[in-house]
Amino acid sequence: MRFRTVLLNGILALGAVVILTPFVWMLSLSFKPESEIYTPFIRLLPEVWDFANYAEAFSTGEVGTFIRNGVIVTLSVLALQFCTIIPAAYVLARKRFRLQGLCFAIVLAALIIPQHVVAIPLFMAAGKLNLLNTLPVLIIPFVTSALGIFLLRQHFKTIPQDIIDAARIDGAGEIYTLWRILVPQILPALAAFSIFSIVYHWNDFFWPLLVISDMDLATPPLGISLFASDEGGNDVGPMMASATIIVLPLMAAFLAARKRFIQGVTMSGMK
Amino acid sequence: MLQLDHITKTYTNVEVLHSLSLTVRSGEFISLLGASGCGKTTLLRIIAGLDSPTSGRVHIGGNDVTDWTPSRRNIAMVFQSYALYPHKTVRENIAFPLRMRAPWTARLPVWGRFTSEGKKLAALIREKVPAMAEALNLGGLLERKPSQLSGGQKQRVALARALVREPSLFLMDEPLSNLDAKLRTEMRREIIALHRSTGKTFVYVTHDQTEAMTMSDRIVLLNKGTIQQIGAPAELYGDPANLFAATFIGSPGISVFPCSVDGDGLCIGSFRMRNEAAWNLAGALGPGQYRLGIRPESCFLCPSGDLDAIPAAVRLVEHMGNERIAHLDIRMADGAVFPACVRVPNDFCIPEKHAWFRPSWRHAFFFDMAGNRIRPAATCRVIPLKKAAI
Repeated sequence: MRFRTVLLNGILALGAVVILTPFVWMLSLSFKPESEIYTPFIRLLPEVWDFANYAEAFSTGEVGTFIRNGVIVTLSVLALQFCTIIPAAYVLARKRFRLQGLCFAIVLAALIIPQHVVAIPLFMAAGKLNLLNTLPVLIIPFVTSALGIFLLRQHFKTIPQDIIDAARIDGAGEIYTLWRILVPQILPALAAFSIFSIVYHWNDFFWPLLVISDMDLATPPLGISLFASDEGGNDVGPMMASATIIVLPLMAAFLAARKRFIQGVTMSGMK
Repeated sequence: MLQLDHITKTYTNVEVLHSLSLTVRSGEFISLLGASGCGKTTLLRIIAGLDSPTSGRVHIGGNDVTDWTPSRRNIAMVFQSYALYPHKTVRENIAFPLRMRAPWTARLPVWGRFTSEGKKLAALIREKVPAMAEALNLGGLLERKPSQLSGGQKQRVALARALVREPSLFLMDEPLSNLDAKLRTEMRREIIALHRSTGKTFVYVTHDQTEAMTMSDRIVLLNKGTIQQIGAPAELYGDPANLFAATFIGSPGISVFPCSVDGDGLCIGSFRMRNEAAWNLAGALGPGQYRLGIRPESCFLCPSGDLDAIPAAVRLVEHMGNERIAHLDIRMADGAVFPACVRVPNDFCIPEKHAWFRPSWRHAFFFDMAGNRIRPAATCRVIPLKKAAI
């Protein structure tokens, strides 16, 4: 028993090390002056703590712009997704209508189609609409989410019909019931979905790379890549500093919502 | 006053309610009693407006409300699962129906609080909710969430939420079946007291005959979507309309035997009865095949030599504390075995294996082979019972 615990923890620790190493290394490099970055030895902590990389990331690398773009895009996407997936999931979960099965099947089918398959038609449509190289083109294709509809539908399904009936008898209309009685009960799922959505769109590289070429409109990952290729890769310090700044908000958000996130994904904690 | 007029409900070709008509008097406590699947909950949902009948009309207080929404009908409903809003505190749960009935301006987020309607609503909530909570012993629990309450407390919150806005009609869907036995009897008394103090019309759905018998002014007994009998509890017990009503009501249940009448008198199964009462009954019934129902308190264990004593095997003796219930098996000449129940006083000896028993003809019910009650003239008198005062 004891041995098992030790073994399991050992395996988990090993996994954690593998996953954490690049992050730790990124963090370490971001604080090292250039002279310390290229050395024959591996040294985890810098000898001299140097914050110049961060200053440089903001001054020459436009990290501030990338973050601003990233925030605008991810939050707009999330807000618009809420407006579409909550009603869609509610209707799929709680209403009976013709072709309901087909509608749900389409949602499920959309779940398994990778973004890359539809990228070219989307790109051409964006070109026709003269949206290339604008911020809206980063938002409009993602105003709804099959994953979100599916996730919320499953949660709406777990709410007893009695509660909806009680609200009707108490005098609440359907829309009021949805937003004030049902949505508060699926907050864990909404939190989980928010994290999925924010992480995905914050980190998305492929679509911005296709449709954005202007540095001022770049989202964080695209920005870093533009930054790296512009500087020819010798400016590792500022690059690592930018990368740190960019992953930090995600980490903070995840740690803050960790409990809800796990609730939402596992569907425990609902009762 | 609630009036149901030929209510029929069909779900995808299955008719679950067959043309039910029922009039509930104002202030009456009426129970819809039946086994699960008999349509009692469907009927309640039709009264509430949560389901609409396939045909037939619903009248409440003189208005035809068949096409009205549940909220317009101004009814209150208590659900078996309590159906409290889990993210709201007890105070907010109880206040919710008041809030929903306020003008929409009072309900606007933030802004609503500063409108005159909003202030009126807040004052109403401040006045009503604590008073309601006090009346239902929820005083210290107003700030709790439903998940922090016990079953009984949740049930009381559900009652408070239903009572707070003075509904015209009170609907309850098996409100006590999720509670443990002791709490159930307590809540039963509380609901009766509520009915007395509010004087409202209550429609109470239950599958538990004890609840229906103890609480109701009248019981509507349902089976397979049709009304079997409507009557006061004592009427259902003492004067069942048919075999279903006789077997459904009563615990332990009524014993049913085949019974035949021919020129030589009356037989219970293969046992011929020779006493005078049986002779008279045979004459009143006329020749034919019948079924005989005898309640457990209407038969007695007797010595083997008694006139008309029927031999039986003792299967089981249940101790109830104040008395015992003897479960007997009666074997007829053709080999068929019929169970019988007899109440036996504690000071009476029950033989271990074989006993003899004798029915009392005063409380014997006769049914034809289709299960309809037959009342042989002047033999089976109903003993009127007053509803027990609680």
